[in-house]
Amino acid sequence: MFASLDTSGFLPPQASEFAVQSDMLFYYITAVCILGSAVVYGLLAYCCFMFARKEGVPSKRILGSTKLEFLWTSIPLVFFLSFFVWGVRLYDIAINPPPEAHEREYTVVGKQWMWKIQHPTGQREINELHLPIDTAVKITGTSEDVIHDFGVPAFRSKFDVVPGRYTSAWYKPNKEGTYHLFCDQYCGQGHSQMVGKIHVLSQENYQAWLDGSYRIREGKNPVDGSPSWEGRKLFFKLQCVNCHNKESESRAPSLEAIYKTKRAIQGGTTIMATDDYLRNSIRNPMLHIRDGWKPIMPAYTRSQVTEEELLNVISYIKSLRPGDLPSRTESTPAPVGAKTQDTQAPAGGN
Amino acid sequence: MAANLKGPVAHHFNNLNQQLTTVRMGMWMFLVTEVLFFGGAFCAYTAYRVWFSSDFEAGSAALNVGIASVNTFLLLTSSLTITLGIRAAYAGNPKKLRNYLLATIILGVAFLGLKGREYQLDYQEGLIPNVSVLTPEAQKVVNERIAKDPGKADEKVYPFNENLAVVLHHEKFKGEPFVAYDPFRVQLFFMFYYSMTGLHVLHMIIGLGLLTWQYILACRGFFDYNARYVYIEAMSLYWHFVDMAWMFLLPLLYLAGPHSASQALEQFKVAIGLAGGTH
Amino acid sequence: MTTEISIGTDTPMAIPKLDYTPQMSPEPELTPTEQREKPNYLNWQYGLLSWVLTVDHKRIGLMYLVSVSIFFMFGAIAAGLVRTNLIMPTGAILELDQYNKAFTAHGTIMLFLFLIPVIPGVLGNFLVPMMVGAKDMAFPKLNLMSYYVWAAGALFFVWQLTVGGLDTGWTLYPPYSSKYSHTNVLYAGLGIFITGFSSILTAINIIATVHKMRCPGMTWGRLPLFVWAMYATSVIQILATPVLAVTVVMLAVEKIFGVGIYDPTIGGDPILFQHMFWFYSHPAVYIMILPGMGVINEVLTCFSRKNIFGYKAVAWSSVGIAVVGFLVWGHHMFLAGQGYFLGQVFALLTMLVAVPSAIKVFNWTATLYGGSITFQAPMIFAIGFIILFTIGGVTGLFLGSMGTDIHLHDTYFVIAHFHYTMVGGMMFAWQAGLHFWWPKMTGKMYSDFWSRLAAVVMLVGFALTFLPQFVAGYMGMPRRYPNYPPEFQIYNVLSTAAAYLQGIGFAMPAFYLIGSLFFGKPAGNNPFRATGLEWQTSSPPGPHNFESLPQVYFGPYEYSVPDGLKILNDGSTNGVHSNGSANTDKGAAHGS
Repeated sequence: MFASLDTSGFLPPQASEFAVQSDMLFYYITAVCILGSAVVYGLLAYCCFMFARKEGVPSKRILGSTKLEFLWTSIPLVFFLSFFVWGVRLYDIAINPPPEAHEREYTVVGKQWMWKIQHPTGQREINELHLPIDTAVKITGTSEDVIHDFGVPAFRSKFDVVPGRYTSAWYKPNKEGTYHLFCDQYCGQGHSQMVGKIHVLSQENYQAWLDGSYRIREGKNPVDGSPSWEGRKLFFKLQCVNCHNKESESRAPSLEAIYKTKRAIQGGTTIMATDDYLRNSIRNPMLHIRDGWKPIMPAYTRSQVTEEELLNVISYIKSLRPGDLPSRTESTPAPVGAKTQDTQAPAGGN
Repeated sequence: MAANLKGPVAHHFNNLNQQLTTVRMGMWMFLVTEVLFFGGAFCAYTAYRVWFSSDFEAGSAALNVGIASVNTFLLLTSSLTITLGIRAAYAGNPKKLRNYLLATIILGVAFLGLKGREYQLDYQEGLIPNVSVLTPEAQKVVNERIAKDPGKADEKVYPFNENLAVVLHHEKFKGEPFVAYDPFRVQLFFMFYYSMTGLHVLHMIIGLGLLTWQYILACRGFFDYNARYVYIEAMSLYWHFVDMAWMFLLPLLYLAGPHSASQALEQFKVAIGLAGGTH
Repeated sequence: MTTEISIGTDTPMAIPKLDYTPQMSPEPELTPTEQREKPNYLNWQYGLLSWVLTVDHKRIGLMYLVSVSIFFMFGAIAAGLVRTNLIMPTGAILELDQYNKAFTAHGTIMLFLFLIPVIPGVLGNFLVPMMVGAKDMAFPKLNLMSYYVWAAGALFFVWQLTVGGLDTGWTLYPPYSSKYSHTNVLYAGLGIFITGFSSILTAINIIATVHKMRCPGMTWGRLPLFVWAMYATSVIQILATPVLAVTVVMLAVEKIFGVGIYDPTIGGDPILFQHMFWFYSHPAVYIMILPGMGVINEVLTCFSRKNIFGYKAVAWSSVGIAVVGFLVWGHHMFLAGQGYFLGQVFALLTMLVAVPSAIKVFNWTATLYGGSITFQAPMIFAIGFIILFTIGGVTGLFLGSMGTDIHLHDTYFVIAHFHYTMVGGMMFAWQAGLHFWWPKMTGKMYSDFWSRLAAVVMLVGFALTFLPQFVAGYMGMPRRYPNYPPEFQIYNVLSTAAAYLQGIGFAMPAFYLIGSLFFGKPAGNNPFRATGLEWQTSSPPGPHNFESLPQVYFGPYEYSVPDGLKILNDGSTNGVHSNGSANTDKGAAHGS
């Protein structure tokens, strides 16, 4: 199952830029620690040999030395703070994807005991992920049940996937090969079975893989089968379009071009429309009610829209540019009993 | 002060003063642990209160603030009586001590009685998450809803949510009914409510047990040595702590949502059976 | 050759000439007849009830010793199962869920039923009253209750582990523990809750004893550093343990009612559990290690015949670790989704908390300088402690620095790190303390040869067990994996082989220590010629510790001051420093 993996010696392969940077900090800390330990062990060995009990030689009376205390407090402190500063900068790199990675966002849903991964172009994989070399990609994940962790040692990267929220990481693989994918947060009986393979392919091989993988029937449009397209289908199926549509902007707020903008919330605050915000707006709309609107949107639970479907809907909302919102009458009649009166709150707020 | 204190000194202490100060210190150390214990729960509660403020306000509005107010009065008075008990023990007046201990116990039992009634009312109103079934009134509302819109017949009905809606319907704030809340978040509030008040009740029961034991000892003449006042003082420290915990619970849980004096009075009347209605 | 001396008492006592200065005038050695007539704490009362209902801190310490050792054995068996299973990449002897129960059992038993209670319960109970010159703990009956509460909780907990097991890992993270695990989370949590009470009650006892029961002349500056360490540990215990208690209560509420505050489906936050859990569990590791560090102070000074280097620095570093240790819990959660800036704060504080430990290591090493060192078993353990704890400590730096933690989190690197600090650190310190004070507690001396051999076997076995795990962890092998990719097998096999050696090493003391009870030579009052108050009484001590109220004039480690007591006899109080250390003409203090 794990044959033909790229491993060598005592170090895992460095398959991404970040791996190289992470290892540099690791080597630095190792060097400092070896130095420090050598000092301690050297002194220890010296004392144990030189000052072993000799008949007639009494022990010295030394109570302490403020100078030495200061010295061996401040020097370690300086080194430790250097670890902190470098470590924070490294962590900063790890959690801030470059702009181009945002264009290629993979989603992963962890569940006991498998990884369900979806490409931005629509392909789905279970426990495997094919990536093109030298391309920065972002991966966002959540869990359907317990906390898991999507860990790739070759990229020196891992992040917990937590039910109820989104977490993310990014990679720029720079070495072809097949690498381990591990679940790195204990999740029950199958924790050690929740492993997989990350395949980093050259650009040609990746294209070949894409071409060979399953495509939606409706032609070669690259949008087909993508998360946004699937999300659009759900947008209609779940009747979102009844209120969020082109015609009547008086029933529900417009969803066009809202990602990563500030939204005014009832109560006078504003909030940034992140992935978590979009997710909460669907799972728990009462949490943040847009200023100037009545709280009438129903909550959609897991039985109505699963985590993967939710990711697709959110992909769709994120892809909406001004003018993209569909109109309600597009082959979808209103259901019996749907409200048709004006539901926008009177001017001046609630 | 130490001059007129008489009492036996335990074998491991050198003198009476050492024994007295050690006993006091021991109780204070224990109370530090209790502060951290309740503090952990309070911190967790506060985090959610900040995140889900409107839902927690709605949940708080469903609580019986009438009972809580009367209970506060009872508990504060019991703290007074136990403190007076210290003085009685110190002065070497066992009869007064017994009376004060008894008064504290009675007030504490009254608190627990009202608290039990409050839990009973919560149960009747169906406000126990995941445990309660639909109350008759809530069942009516659900039936009406399905009658109006048969498409909703297949929807999953959460009994707690429905019961809560019924309760809050009766609670109005400035004439406006509660609408902007998420009943699942209110379940969170109620879990906190039951856990925190439950822990408090447990501490009160333990305290009452200890008070009863001290009362029995007082009846047997244990406190005839006035140096043993320090044990009453240690007991009072614990009792004051339980009181303080309540003084934090009250605003955190009960005063989070809007209440009014008339509402409190109404709720208390219901509690003691003077008025009808489910709450 | 004896010197007549009188120290504040009316009758002069004849004491032998000493090449060091004990903290109080030593009590005379008992002849065998006197020993028969004047019983010690072990034999002055007979019968099961005298043990079951004892309030003597020394007897309670022994009861802890027996119980803790039994639970250690259970934890070690669980460890044996885990390591044996890992010989094969596909799992050698256990099914998946059996393995999960085994490693959970190993973790919970070792932490809650061994590492946390061992030194406070055994050595703390036995020694703290004697070291401060008291007849007993501040609350002897509470002490007994604390033991029974612990024993009851521990038995209940182990019973739960055997009848259904617990498979959540000792960390009990929801939602797995609250909604998905089919094991006895609720009852195991109850067991942990009960044993937590014992922690708190022992801590209250120690704090009150140290504050209120010190004998005349025993100022804070003359306290043995073991007492400082126990005091700091007790402060952590009373502040941190209740938070674990309330966390477990909330988890229990969630399991009982099926809806709870950690439940993400209704808006609860599983990360909140992690915050509350680690708020206790990080200070818990300091509860485990600080007493061990305290023991090392006593052993190093005695076997190098030198005062501790930098008494104040070591004392205050214990306090510093206790305080700052409360502020770093988030370094277990860098990848959990707690927020970037919060993580930075924790990373910075983690680097700060490393400093006091570093100070201690340097001070200990400097203590050896200029000493007159002998290498009996306690000293081998103590030096082993310094070696191993250094490795454990520096590997913690990799994990505390946020960037490298990304790769190392939840791998075998973490496992190796905490085993180095807890086993290489704490366990070795416990062995050092056990071997150091065994003659005092039992009055018998154990075999010098076998104890030194056991120390070396443990040292080698332990070090070799966990060194390969650092490599495996850096290679990426995750924690809590019963099956793993074959390229990690070599490290696991090496580790398991050394683990068996380590197991032999840990089993050896059982034999020669118990053997010493039957075949050992009488130890005498002070076989190691140590300066502490506990060493100036008989071995085993009498029921009330001291013949009369001790009067202390000297600091705790005056090993290089010969005949300090004589100075007092001269009547020249200007020969005595304010910290009680004698101002002799030879070997004037270097530095401060």
